[in-house]
Order: sequence, then structure tokens, then C-alpha cells
Amino acid sequence: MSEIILQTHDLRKVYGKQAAVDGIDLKVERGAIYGLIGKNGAGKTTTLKMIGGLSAPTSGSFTLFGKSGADLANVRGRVSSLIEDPGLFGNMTAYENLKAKCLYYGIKGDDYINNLLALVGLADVGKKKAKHFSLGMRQRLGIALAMVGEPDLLVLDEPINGLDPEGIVEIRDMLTKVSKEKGITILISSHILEELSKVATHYGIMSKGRLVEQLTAEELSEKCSLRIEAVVDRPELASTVLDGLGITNYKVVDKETINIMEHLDEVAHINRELNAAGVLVSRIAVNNESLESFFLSRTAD
Amino acid sequence: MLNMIRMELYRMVRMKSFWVILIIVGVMNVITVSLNDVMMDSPELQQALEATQAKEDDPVSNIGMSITMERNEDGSYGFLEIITAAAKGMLCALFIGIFTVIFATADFNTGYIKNYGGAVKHRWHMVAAKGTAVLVYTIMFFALFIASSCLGVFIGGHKIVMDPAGKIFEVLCIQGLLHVVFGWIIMSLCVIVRNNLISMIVACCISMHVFTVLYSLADKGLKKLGWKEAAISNYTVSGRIMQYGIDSSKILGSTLVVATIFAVVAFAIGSLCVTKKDLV
Repeated sequence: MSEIILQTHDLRKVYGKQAAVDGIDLKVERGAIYGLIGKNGAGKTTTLKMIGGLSAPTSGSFTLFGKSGADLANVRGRVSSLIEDPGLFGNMTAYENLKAKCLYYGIKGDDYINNLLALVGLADVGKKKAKHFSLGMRQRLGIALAMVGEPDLLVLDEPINGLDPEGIVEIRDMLTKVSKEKGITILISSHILEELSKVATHYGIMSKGRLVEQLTAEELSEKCSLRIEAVVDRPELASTVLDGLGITNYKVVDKETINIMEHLDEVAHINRELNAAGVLVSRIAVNNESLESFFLSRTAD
Repeated sequence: MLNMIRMELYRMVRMKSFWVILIIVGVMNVITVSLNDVMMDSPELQQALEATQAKEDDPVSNIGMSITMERNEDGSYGFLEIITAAAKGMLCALFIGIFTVIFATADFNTGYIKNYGGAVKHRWHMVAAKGTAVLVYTIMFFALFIASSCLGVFIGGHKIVMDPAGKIFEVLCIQGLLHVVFGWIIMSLCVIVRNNLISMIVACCISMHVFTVLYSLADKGLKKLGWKEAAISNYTVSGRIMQYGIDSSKILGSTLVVATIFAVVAFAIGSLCVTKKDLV
């Protein structure tokens, strides 16, 4: 099992009488790209603020790199975040904004900053002040700022907001690259599951301040792929029949449902074989759930 | 901590307001000092000055800035007179206060604090780093102020009579310290309220003696309660800035105590606030 570098325990944040985050328990493994997904106001940003050290939990706790409580201060420097809008000094250039943060981390050398600018596609902005940047350029610079100091955990709140399609692809590739090559764990939020699904290895679905489901990319893919969904009275017997038909990629979901992920064009044949073996099939059909409908079903009011 | 100070100093010198305020103060000071003769020789302005001085016993009526630079009989100016005139008139405090507000609220207003605030091990370091930047700015401000004042005197065709070195050192150190502490008080206020408008109004009100009205009212109340010599402004940093001049050695000790208490309280409250409150 991979090392858990972040684990929250009944984490809560209350503003006035409103619980923005209402007791979440999430686990993030080292090297994962963990996608936190939820509608606007689901509590994603508040969760990330707490993990990023910008906001204190009202109650509950979390463990970072095995440290919790007062010891958290010792590992804070290993976490970097981009929360909400990128925080930039408008009268400074991209280089100067990065230089300021590099000074904080004690990083010297122009090459480091220039490499970061190249990594996010801002190598050619020159002396242009950040206040004249487009939304996409600001977002790229925000990501570059978050990358300063090569954190072990990168916390990104909706980082593709405002990016053009080309920019989205570039940032997506960059995140995948730094995760694989540098082993940086990434906690990324979005309300667009479709986008997250292209990079994330793990997912946490949030709704109304709660974490309603955690799953891996494989589990999500399984839930959203095309399959034959059969509702039967005796799943054990049905399994034997399927084995006899040479079907191996199937899953008994519950006491009456079996999902078959192969031989999708042989529904009638499978139905006939099941009936012949004495299995009562009350419903059988090729089915799939889109990412969107999957997400909506988990976050429905 | 040292890295954070480096970062604060870096962003300070890259702020437009840093240069704008220094340039405005420098140019304005050269002009006003060089034209001091115009005021000293104008009967109308002299009359107005006397009227203002006549009201000095009643602080409630003395709101606003009043800077009077006394000329020696031979037309020369004493070095400390040049420096303390503007300092005691709260002109330096006003500009230091304005810059401090812009500087101390910039990373909160722009959101830049989100880039590093979460990674800070001890958040009080943030207040200490900002305080160090304010200290450096005050030193630079005073250096520029002295240089521009001297230049203004020379342009006006006058000589500067140097005071004893020990006296210059004492007055510059104490006025410098009081101005730094004044900056720290404003900085702490910025960290606490995180609102540049409120902080700016308070900084200007202190510099323009508006709070003197409140002090006077409190003094009257305290006198009624039996403290016959109540004078709250004696226990404030701004009050000490207005009082400390060439012949103030007798209040040196008490001034240091006032400055130290305000510095410690400003840092303690600022640090506590930045530690306990969410950064965004």
C-alpha cells in the first residue's frame, strides 16, 4: 500500500452558523493526483485552504507527512498552494513575482525562475506587468508560483479556470509530468469532472461540505464504462454460467446485479444461457453512466 | 526569517509608492525649506503663525499640520532645528504612515500572501519581517529628509550651523525610534483590520492631530476624576514625536519607555492576530 501523506479526520470549518466543511475524512497517497470535485459551494476551496495552511479548522484534524497538531508547522514548507485567484503583485513582472517567492525559499539564480516561466509557458512575457496579464496568463503564473521550492504536495484550486483549450492541455500535461518525474503529489479541485478525469488518479466527491465518495480512477472508469447490466435472482449461479461462457471481466455488484464488461454485443445469447441454467433474469441491457451523470447522481440535492 | 525579510525588502523597493513618496517628499522638502524665508518675512503669514501659536495651550483647536522652522538672527539655521521642525510637525510621520499602510496591506489586498503564508512555520515572523522593512524605510526616509532639507537651506542661500554631535545623535535616534514605532503601530493596525482605507484614515488622523481632540477630552475627564496633571499625549508615541526636540534630554528615559511599550504591544497584538486569524 502506498504511503498516505495526507489524511483528514472529521475536518470541519464553520463560518458563523454555516458549516462550509462538515466533517470530511480524506486520504491522499504519495504520488497521486487527487481530484476533489464538487459543485460551487461544496466546500472544496475551504478544504484546500485548511490543508494549505491558510485557514484553521474549526474542529477535526489532519495529518501531513505523518505529522499532526503542533508538529504540522515543521512540514508546512513542503506544501504549496494556489487557492482561488492567483495572488500577484500587479506592478511587478512575472519574473519579479517569482523572484519574491524564491527569496522567501532562499532560492537563488535566474535559471530557476526562467525554467519555471518556460514550464508554464510564460517565457516570452518579458517586462510586461502582471496587472496587464490575461486571466490565463495570471493562472499560469499562479501555478508557477505554487511550484517554487518544489513542494512535495501541491494544492491547486481550480487551476484551469480561465485557460484556453490549448492552455488546459498544456497545464494538464505539465501536472502529469511533475507528478511522474518529480514525484509531487497533487491535490486539485474542480467542478468539471471531465477535465479532472484526464489527469486524476484518485477522486473525492464533495457535496454540501461533505465527502460523499472517494474512489480511484480505475473504479471511476469501471463505473462509467459501457457494460451489460443484468438483474438476476441467483448471482452465484449466474457467475458459474458466465465462467462457462468464457466471460471473465464481470463483477457481482450486489445480491441481484451483475455487471459484464465484455461481449457487449451478445446480450441475447447471455440472456438465453442464463435462463437455460435456471437463472431468472428480470432485466438485462447494455448500459453506461457518463461522468457527468455519475457526478450529478452523487451530488444531487 | 531572514529570507522573509529579504522578500519583504525586495517587494518594498519594487513598489511604485515607495519611490513616489520618497520623490514627492524630497522635492517638496527642498522647495518648502528653500522658500522658508518667504514665510518668515511675510507679515500676513507671521500673523497667522502667531495666531496659531497663541492657541497652542488649547489643543482642541489645533487640528492640522503646523511646521515652523525658526531662523537664527544671522539668517542661518540650526541643523537640528531643520530636522525637528518637520518631525515635530508630524510631517515625517504622515508620509511614513501612508507608505506603511500601502506596504503592509499590499500582500493581503493582492492575495500574494496566499503564495507563501501557508508555508510559514511561525506566522509572527511575517509581522517581524514587515516591521524590519518599515524600519529600513524609516531610515531611508530620514536620510532623504535630512539631505533634502540641507539642500533646501543651501538653495535658499543660508548656512547651516551644526549642533553638538552628541545632541544630533540623540535627537536623530530618538525621533527615528519614535517614527519607527509609529510605523509599527500602523503596520499592526493593517495586519489586524486588513483594510487599507481604515488604516490610512487612522494614520492620517494621528498625524494631523485629530486624535488630540480625543486625548484632550480624556484629559478633562481624568482631571475631573482627580488627576490634576493628566496629559495622555505624554504617553503616546505621536505625543512624544511632537515633544522631543533639541532640549528634551530630561524626557529621554520616559520617551524610551513609551516607545518600547508601544513597540512591544504593537508586535504582540499584530503577531497574535496574524497567528489566530485565517490568512484568506
